[in-house]
Amino acid sequence: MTQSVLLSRWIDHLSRTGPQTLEAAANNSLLGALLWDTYHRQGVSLSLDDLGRLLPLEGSRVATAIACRILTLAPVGVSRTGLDTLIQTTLPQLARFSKPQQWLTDEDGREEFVRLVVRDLGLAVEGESPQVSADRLQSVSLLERRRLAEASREAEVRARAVREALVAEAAKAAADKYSRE
Amino acid sequence: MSLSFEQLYPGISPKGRAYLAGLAEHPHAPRFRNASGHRLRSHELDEVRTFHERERGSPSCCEPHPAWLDPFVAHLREHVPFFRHFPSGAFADLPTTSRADLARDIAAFVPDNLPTSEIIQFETTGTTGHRIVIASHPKVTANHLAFLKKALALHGIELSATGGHTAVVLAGFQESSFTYTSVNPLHDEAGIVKLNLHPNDWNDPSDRARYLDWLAPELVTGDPLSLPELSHLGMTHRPKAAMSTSMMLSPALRQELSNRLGCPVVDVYSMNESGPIAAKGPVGEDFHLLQSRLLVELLDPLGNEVAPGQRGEITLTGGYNPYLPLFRYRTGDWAARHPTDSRRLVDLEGRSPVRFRDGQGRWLNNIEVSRCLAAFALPQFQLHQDSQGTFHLRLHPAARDADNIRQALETLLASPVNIGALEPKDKVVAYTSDLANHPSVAGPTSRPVA
Repeated sequence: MTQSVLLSRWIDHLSRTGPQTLEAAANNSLLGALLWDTYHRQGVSLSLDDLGRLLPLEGSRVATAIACRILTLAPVGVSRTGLDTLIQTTLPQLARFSKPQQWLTDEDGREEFVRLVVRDLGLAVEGESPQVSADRLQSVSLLERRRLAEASREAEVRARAVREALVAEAAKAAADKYSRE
Repeated sequence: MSLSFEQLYPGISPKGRAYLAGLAEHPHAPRFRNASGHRLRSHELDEVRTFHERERGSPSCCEPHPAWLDPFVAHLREHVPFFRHFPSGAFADLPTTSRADLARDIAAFVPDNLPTSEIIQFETTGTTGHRIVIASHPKVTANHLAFLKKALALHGIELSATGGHTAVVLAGFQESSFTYTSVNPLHDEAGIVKLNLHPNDWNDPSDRARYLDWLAPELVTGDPLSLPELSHLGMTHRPKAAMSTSMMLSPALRQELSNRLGCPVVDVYSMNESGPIAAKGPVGEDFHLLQSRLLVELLDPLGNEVAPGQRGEITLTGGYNPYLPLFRYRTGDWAARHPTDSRRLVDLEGRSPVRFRDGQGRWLNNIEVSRCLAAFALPQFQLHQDSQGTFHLRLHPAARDADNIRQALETLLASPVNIGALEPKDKVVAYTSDLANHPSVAGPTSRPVA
């Protein structure tokens, strides 16, 4: 059964992020230690190679440090895959489109950050159905809006390609049919 | 840009090429207006063979929730733009779709994981105002034949034509029509000829019978307009079967055609969107479902399955055209499920129910009119009740027995019936009424015979 978390508690924890966390983002050893602790709490022992792969490049170091901080609240048993997706995919994308200040001080920014963590870890938000959580994430998330816009652009390009293929085909000879309807 | 001969007939043998040329060059051949071909490359041909084998050995789908349904719905949500933001929930609670959805943007129904380079298309005609283009693939059109074979199998008939012979003639009877010759690589390059029986397409009208006798097709497909024309040409060849698709075929006309053509006439319920759905067997008027991966629901206007024996709108999910996956697709046609056999449909009518008020103020369902007219060999007709309650019956010019038809209808309707001529058209709305409908009538008040 999916474990659920109290969103307000996580957001509150995020909003009280102190300077030590931000300092850790600037220090490879400290950030590595945060990551190692985060995975270790979930029963995963990272090798040095694993750590090397997970340690983020410049763009998402702050996001990773903040995520490790709030993940101290995560229940035991979240998936390794979910953690990897968060650290290696979602946070670098988030860092590309928004600034750390937004995650700490902006109301929507904080909620977006926490909801992305919760989503990647496969957790549920207490009191919300999966559909409500997904809708809420869409409404607060810049990243999600951007993803949807890109998906929509891709869909439009695809639809245009289909329509053009149909028009082009109409000009060619048809394929055999076995009925006249 | 038209396709080359090699693109139309990949891998055609010299014998097939010669036979194909002979089909068009015969001295009594009509003018063939178009070029067409199977377009199947060898690996696709293998896939088509596998599909035909699988379908031949598979019973039609009759469970309310077959095993393939959930993966199919997941595929729609992942790959089909129209369904990407569809609400979640149990299958039976999800919204239905209709021809209007397809008409709005057919591209939204084409899965995004399929290549556009291999799309083919055809348009459907209709009288609903929703003219639609269907996306498809050469494999899909080749797979269509698998279901016609299943329909023939209901009658104990198997196609066996091989190279140098003609397997199928598709006969139309229209002012103008798409016509071509082709060969079928699944059947050793046996011939396929789509022709128009209208005299416009022939040097001499008498060539029609001569050419058809020379072709000697195993199967002739047509409709209630072209098959009567065919049956009066004086063709001496006796096909294994004739097949009627696209429009309603009355039992009396079917029997008359069968007598004249000297073979069984198989009535197939088919749509462009889905291909063949069901066919009548040799006995009775029930339609037997044909496809193994097409879920047929019978729904009331609210989207709930009706009880066996009650009529509901035929609603389709699945199908064999990956370029047009159907999801709870309302066909506009109505039928009831056989009370004891879920693979059979009864009282199938190609339209929504229309009720008529008879001369004594009672309400009759159009199905009762259809039963009354079943005894007459009517190719097409249209019954309309105007706002004053007067009945107007328009009959196709080929219809006979007008006096007897009038008498039967007047007895049923307890009211005079005016008889007029129907302008021959491809599809007509058979039943219409200007009267405010009876409160128990659900759905739209008229529907074309499609």
